[in-house]
Amino acid sequence: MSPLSLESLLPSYIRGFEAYVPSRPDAELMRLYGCRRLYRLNNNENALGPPPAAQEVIRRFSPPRAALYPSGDSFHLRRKLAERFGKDPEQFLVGNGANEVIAFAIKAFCEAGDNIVTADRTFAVYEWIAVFSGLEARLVPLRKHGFDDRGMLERMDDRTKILFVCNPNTPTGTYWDEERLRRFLEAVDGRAIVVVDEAYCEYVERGDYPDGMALLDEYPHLVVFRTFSKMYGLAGLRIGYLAGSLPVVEAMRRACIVYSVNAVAQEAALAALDDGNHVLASRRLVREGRAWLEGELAARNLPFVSGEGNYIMIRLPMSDTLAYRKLMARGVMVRTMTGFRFPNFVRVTLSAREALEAFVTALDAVLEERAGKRGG
Amino acid sequence: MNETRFFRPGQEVSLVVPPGLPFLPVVTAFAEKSAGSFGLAGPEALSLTLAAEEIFSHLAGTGAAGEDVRLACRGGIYYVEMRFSFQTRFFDMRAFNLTSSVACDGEDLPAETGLLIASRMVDRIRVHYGDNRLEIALRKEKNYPEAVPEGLPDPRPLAAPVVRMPDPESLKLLSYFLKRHAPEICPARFLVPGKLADMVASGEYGAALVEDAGGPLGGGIVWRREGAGLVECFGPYLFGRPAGEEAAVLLVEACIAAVAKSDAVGMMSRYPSPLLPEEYFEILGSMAVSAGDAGTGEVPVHYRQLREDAGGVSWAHPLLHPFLKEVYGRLSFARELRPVREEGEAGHPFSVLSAEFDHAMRQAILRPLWWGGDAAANLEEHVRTLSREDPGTVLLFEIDLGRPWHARFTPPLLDAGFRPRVVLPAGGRGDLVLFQHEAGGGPR
Repeated sequence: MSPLSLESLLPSYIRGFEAYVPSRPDAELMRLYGCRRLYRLNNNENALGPPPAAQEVIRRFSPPRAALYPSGDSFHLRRKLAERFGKDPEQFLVGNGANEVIAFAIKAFCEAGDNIVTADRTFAVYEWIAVFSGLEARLVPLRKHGFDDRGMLERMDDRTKILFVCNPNTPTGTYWDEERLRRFLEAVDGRAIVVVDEAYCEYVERGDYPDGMALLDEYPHLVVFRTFSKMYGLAGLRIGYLAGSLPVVEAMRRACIVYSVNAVAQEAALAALDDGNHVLASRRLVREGRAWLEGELAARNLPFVSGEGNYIMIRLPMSDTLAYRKLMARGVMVRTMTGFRFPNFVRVTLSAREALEAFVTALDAVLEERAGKRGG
Repeated sequence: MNETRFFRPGQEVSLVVPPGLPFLPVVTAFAEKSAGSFGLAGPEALSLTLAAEEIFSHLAGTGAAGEDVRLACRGGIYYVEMRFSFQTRFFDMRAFNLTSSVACDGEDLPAETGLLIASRMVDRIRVHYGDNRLEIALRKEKNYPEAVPEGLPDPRPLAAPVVRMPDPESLKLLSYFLKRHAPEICPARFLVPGKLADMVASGEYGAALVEDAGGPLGGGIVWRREGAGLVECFGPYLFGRPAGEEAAVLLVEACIAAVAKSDAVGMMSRYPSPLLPEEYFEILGSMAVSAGDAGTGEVPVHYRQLREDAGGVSWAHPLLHPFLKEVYGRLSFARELRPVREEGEAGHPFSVLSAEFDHAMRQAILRPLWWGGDAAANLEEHVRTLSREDPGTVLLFEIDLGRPWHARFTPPLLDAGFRPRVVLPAGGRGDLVLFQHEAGGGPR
């Protein structure tokens, strides 16, 4: 048999693409780093877990049902979402996490030679999927930690198919208010699709924060992404969705993967939507955690970027990747920001007080150790 | 900020020939014509051609190539690279030791053979082995004028520094300023203006400049790919007085941003300027350097990871464990140490080492290509030969802790006067350990 010639089989944009390597499982990390417990403050997971009703659905899921295919297009969940937001069920597509619906949009609208426009320091998956689909990702620098609307419009051309706006942005927590979002949508004016990723919208309590769902009727080129991974605590089940105008969603349906969302995820999401108390409790947890942690950081003269969402970005007087290892050895996992092009920053999930206290204690030890070495 | 895209493909021409001396004229004609076509001037093209002739004669004479030899010549803007690749027959692998003088057909042995002679004619020679194929790459760099023009402006302190990606003329200006203000703290190749501009144009190097908005150039930083997973940065260089810490931070952040989303796992700085902001780096270890009459000194190797460390396994000889435990503990690298030792199992009689020369950096790096029972003698012969070639050269040996058989070289390395200096995390299949020969405190 002739040797496999991968170089000739792979498209150039795949040859040059670096695969994302996820963290190892917790048990493996704890073994490697020699820690007995691990506080996960790296993925913006909800410390409260899923809402009680969703937990009950998961508990009661009958094992024999695992042999049956789920609804291929999340039929009941789409009807529930339509009822909840006053839309048509056909205006929704449900995917295996928000990452999959990003791919639906890009696959539906983009072909070779097209480009997408987004920010340089935001959720990286827009850029990744575009690049490994052979498309150009035009990255516009953030301005004052926020998306630069004018810069994005300047980078548009007649091959721009989608503009991705993360609102609020991760990792900076900045957001566009309704007036600014409307101005942007009007400036794009149907020349391209505008995706507003509202993965963290349920955490935002500011009055001027726009509700993308409410704008869909006015802007047929607007597509809204949401997820059950953050506020609703279903990250382990992988479920997210998009909403848009009927013709736009109909177009994206052609590129969507059916049967990719499992039955437990669909039913848990359905139950989660009804639990208003969970949203209030989660917001309270984040609000209190933010206030406490901001105080601790200020007391240590550590600069931070704190906006909306259940996370905060902290600037350290040392390499973030070194801090990551030192914190891991003390049982605390944070997200380094070098890959987001924020060197020496870490992003920390606003979690339960115990976890945040563990983080601050570990950070103190790391900084003291560093100061001792520098002093010595 | 634009990202660095490493290894921008250049133009390439290729030739496939049987490994026999009757085809030597074909090889030399190919080398000469392609070197000229890719822009090497007469003397440099001749050097590359002679080196190619030596390599091919060596291959043909030793019978080491098992089948047709593929030659590829690539234009890299500031250099031309000639690569020989072929399937090997194991028995003859030892012919690729730098020190090899393998006899064939009972002929008299020459005092020096193939690879060593070829290495003198080029700027860089690299040998790579994998999947039963061996590749020898010869690189010859173009020659550039080095005169500094009259009437250059004096750099001024930066009032409001901004960073930007450079154009060729700005890079040449950076080179002029380096020559005038900082020649002792940067690699000599940066002091050749046209070369620096072409090095960046080739995509192998990246650079960022700092200046006042629309105003004069204030400094810069340069980086390049180094090995499988590393980026090496040089600088930051700042010329105005007082040198601003803010500008140095901007340059380092620009450098990190340019490579943060590449496939590089780490960035190191072996030749830091005094303005390198320490808080962006950790110190892996140090290398010995010559300090003139004062003997040798130690220069720290600065490093930063570009992604979260995933932990891993390091295969190492027990003699290396104390060094690794100290480094891993100090820097909190989660590694499982797995011992490798010889326990009487059968092995091959001959070892093979690759030698990579970088004449501009006055550095030679040895790497294992094959373990064999003669490793100690082979290593000593390499040290002797390389020390004779250039007594001032920095002599390094690199082993990959992700390849268990590399660990077997540890005892002969220590016996030959090499000392473990630095661990480069995830620099190869696993972590790389850089040994430095204790007599090799070469120039910076």
